[in-house]
Amino acid sequence: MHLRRGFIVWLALALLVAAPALAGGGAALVFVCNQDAATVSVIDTSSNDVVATIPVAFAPAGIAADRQGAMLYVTHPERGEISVIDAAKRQVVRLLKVGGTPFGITVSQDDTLFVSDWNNNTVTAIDPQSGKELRKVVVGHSPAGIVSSPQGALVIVANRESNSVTILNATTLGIAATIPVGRAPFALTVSPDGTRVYVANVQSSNVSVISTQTLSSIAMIDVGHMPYGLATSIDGKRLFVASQSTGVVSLIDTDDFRILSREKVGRFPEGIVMTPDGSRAYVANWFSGDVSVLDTASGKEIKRITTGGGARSLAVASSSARSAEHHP
Amino acid sequence: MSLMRSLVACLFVGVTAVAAHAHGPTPQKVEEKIDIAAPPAKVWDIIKNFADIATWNPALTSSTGTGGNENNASRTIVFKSGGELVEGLDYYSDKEMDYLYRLSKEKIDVLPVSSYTAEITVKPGPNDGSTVTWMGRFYRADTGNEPAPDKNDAAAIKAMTEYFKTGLAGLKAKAEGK
Repeated sequence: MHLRRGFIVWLALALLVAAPALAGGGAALVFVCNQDAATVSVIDTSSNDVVATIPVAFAPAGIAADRQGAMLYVTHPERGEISVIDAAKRQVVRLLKVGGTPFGITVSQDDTLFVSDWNNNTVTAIDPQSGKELRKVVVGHSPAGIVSSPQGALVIVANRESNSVTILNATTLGIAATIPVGRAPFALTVSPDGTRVYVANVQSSNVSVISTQTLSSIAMIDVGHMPYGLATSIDGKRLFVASQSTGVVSLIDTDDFRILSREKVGRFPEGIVMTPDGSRAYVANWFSGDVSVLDTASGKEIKRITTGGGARSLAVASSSARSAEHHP
Repeated sequence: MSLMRSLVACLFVGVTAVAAHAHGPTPQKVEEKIDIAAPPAKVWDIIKNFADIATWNPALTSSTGTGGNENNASRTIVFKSGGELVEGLDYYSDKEMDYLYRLSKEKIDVLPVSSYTAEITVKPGPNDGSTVTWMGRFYRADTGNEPAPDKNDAAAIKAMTEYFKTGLAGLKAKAEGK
């Protein structure tokens, strides 16, 4: 294990990522996409209260923040649209008509949007201003969760109906690898050092661990039933996995893949995100329409916040970055 | 996997990919509850064998199964209205009086939904009775962006609601000895 080296790499990265957040001393905001309510709730992580509720178009599904936390992008698969939310203004500032069924979304370092299209089996690189398609590639069937690596070189997508993950070159959208995983992979996350991808296989009740160095699956972790959302701790040592049907979030040691604890959250949890300081995890509970706040050290739930019907996905933005107004 | 096979087949014969997908982007939910004047243990006793659902659910004419009440057990349910569905057991707890199952293969002419997960639970209810909760998470029959009226979200919700209501009413009648 290159644990030490990985740790140092991670530390450097973490500082890079954390720097804008710490500069203004502001707390992070968590944006929660409520699919049934057609709203995005804004949670201030310092108070854990909903400080704004932003109406959006019908059936929002995925949400992603840019790396500065200035803009949020929300997919509407049933409308072929992406809502763009200005984090400071807390409102939708434009609508990108991209067509198709945009579902999963991630934003790279240069603000390019990468979007999975559920019905067209593609990943598209999209200009965040014009909504124009820059590049497109055919991946597996029903591509769902999509992430970009911390350094931005890779884009990785889970192909739910093909039981595989496609790793793409972010610049060219060329396929670097297609890796078989468990059954019905939906969500995925990259470790903070960028060396691993964790993929939640909904129907086989396990998590595939993929090495981005060897481009192969290196382990399979048996977790609770119907794993949906997952996120790693900021130090990469812990993995949080939401088991949708049983309403449990499992805390897993990423060295030996032991399950350290299981915490009951709201009903049918889906997405999970981590605050930039690593102290809290936020879990969107789809059925109960609320968000569970977990203490990451203990894995225990410390608060449950009502957001809106069909809370499914979340994104984090730091409020100091919000006021930086770096965006055109 | 037969689902994948049929999906690929549909693509090849030129049916739009949109209509063929088993899942869609917008899941729907239904939750039905009923209070029963019988203790939880008695109610659970009626429903606890996964394969025997037709003994208490009047929407069904028969049910058969393999694998008992273990994870991955399977049951085939035959509807009074015609047609059958195969369901797989995903989670079972005698202690919690709870089980969770999912549709193994969609058949939208039997039930206009695709890829549902459902859970039924018995809990203590009012006056030493029970409250049974039956919930489902599912997708409409046509998960494309322009579903026909009989394959849209409303049709799926209606069908699931009616199925759960009929089942719970049957359970109540049986448990209360009416």
